[in-house]
Amino acid sequence: MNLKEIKDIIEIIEGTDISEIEIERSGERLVIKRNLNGLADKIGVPDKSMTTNDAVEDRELVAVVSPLVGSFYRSASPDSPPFVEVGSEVRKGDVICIIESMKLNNEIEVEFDGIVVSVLIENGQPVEYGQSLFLLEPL
Amino acid sequence: MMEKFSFFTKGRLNTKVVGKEVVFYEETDSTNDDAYNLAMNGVDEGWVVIARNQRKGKGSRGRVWTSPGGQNIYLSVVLRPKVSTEKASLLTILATLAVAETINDYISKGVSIKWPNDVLVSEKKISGILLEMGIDRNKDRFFIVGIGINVNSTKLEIPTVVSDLATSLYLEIGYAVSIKDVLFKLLYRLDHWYGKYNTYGFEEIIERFRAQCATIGKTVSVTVGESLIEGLALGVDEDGFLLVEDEDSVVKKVISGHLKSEV
Repeated sequence: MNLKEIKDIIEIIEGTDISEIEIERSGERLVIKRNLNGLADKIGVPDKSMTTNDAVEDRELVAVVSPLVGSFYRSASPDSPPFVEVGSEVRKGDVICIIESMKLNNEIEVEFDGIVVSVLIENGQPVEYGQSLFLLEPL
Repeated sequence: MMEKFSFFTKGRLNTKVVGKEVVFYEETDSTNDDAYNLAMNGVDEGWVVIARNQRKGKGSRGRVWTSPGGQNIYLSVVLRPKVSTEKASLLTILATLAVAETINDYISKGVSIKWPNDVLVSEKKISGILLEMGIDRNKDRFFIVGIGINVNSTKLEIPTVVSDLATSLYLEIGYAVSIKDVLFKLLYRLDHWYGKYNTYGFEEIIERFRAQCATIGKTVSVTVGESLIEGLALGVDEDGFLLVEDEDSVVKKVISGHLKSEV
């Protein structure tokens, strides 16, 4: 299962009440657990084969989700560099993006140490409450 | 004659929250940054930073708020409301209403609000409002309400690029007014509406805002990211969002973006 497919699945369940989904295909299993009241979604992406007993590599990615509706900005201003890029190492409390709603700038901080694996939203695009913004690999 | 703003630092305001403590600077980079730093260090809500001159006044999305010295109002207020994150942007509506009413004290006709945060006089912008949210060292959430009002700016002090779009109280009424007086009225208005919110919620604030909001009833186009929403602005909902009906009669909620309206 590649990152694009995982993103598509996240998009499908967003805006729904689904809090947990498990998909098994060709010996791969994807488990997405959404904490609809919290700030982080836990996404297990185990390369786990259900049919063989190969060594298991559990790579758990955690999504940073939007706490409110608004516009997503990756930098403090159009001229400044993005807060993070794919591959950036972030520490708990670091600002990762801004969600602007009716001219109120909300600086979104990460709640754990991690590495940015994927940026899911384009700069300037609108986001919904609970929408996943970044995928991070916790350190 | 230069008015002494230190007047406000001596506890002379009889407000409940806003302006209980006032920090005054002759010059600073940005009152929003100063208030943000104070809030990070845990000051109570109601602290206000006022400056006579800003070197790097903050506008929205990193733009500069032009801040000629001594002529205008630049202030930032620390608030710590127990508001849910989804409703927090209604603080923009509260601040905009307070500014519009303050301007109304000097100009009776032609004052209107362009959703969500611009106060216009004869279709020209007279103020700027910028809100920021942060988490302080005690893990408590705070808000900074930054307000700039063009009070006594002359035509020369308004950058030519915006001279058709911006104005000041002086340019509209033809004489200079006391900045101290405008500050007084503004701080009391902010305190009044903040008190209302704390007791009764946002309902009356939204009603008053709607009554002054000239965007409602106009054809608008809003750029949100790469998409464009065009249609008739029907109203402002209970979250403060603008409701726009497009040509397919679909009503869309506008939460942010760049708004243009037909006069």
